[in-house]
Amino acid sequence: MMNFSMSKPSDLIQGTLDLLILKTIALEPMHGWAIAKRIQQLSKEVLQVTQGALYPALHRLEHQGWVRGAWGESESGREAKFYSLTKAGRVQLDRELAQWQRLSGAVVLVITGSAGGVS
Amino acid sequence: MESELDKELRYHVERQTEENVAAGMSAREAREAASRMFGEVTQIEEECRDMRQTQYLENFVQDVRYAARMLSKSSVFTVVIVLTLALSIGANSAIFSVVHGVLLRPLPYPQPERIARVFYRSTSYPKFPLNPWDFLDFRARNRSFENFAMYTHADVQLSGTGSDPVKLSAFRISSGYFRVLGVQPVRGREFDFSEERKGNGNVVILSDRVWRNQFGAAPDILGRKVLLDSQPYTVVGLMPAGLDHPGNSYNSVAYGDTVDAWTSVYV
Repeated sequence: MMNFSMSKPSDLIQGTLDLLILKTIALEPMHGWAIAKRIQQLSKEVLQVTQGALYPALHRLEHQGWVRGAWGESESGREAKFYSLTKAGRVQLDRELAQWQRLSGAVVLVITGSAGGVS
Repeated sequence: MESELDKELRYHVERQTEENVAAGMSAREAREAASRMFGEVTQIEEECRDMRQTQYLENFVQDVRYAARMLSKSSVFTVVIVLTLALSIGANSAIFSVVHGVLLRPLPYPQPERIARVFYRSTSYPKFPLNPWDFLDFRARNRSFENFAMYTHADVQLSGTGSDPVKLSAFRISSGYFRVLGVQPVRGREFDFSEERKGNGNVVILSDRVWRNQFGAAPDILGRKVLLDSQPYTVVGLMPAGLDHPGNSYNSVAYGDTVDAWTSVYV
């Protein structure tokens, strides 16, 4: 199985990590560790977000006002910072989802179209 | 904020360690893996702060603290640096005051841009004072200037005032000298044309300083006879206090020096 280690935001298409984070915490507030785990599990271990990419992204998103961090007790009984989506974050998530669908759809069109043309 | 970030990242590392142990790593391996991750922490923190754009300010504060700490540690070095800076700043401002006074400051007269000094110019002497005869010719044929006047430095001895004789810094000037500068006597008048002829009576204009120091600010100073170089002179004018002269060499006084008395040139 091929793994995509997301150690720097530019490793995959830029902005994809933002989308993944926003989507992941859209259901419930989560701390950084859980976000990374959830992305890993949902992608069947294909996407591995290192903390070197995750925390700068989280802090950037918080600075942009799309997520909000709050300290709370984690499931293991220790203090952890939980990130939740803000109202502006929800709008941003919709926007990025639409953008992603347009982009990935376009990529699919190109690669299937050109494959047909060559053969 | 930084300690919060620490706490946040430490939590992550702890969870990672636990998972490593759960996955069958020995406690030692798990600890090592965790410390490997801690190695990244500083960089992550920096990136997080970059994202928040507070990095520049924090860096600056840290740099200032670091500089202060290092300076206080090596006090000899600090003293040398501070002295060097003090000396160079002092030397700079001293030189600048001279440059300002000599080159940049406009002449201390009402319309300095309309006043010019005339010199001879030759290959051997790029700047040479005019001689009196040429001055007379130039003045007689002058059509370019509103006025043409001359002065030359000629100190005199003042006596007969009741106290010891004193040397006065004095100028010989032509009529119209103060008109050229745009300065008027506070009392009396400046010299007229007839007073440039010898035999029409010696006349003198006094400075405010001499008037106060040698004559006790006598209100009846005009018309009084004074002895200059043992010759009788009549006081015809009194100049305002703080009057400056075109300074620097060429038969003048140094900048900032005062002149005590003005007598008429004889032509």
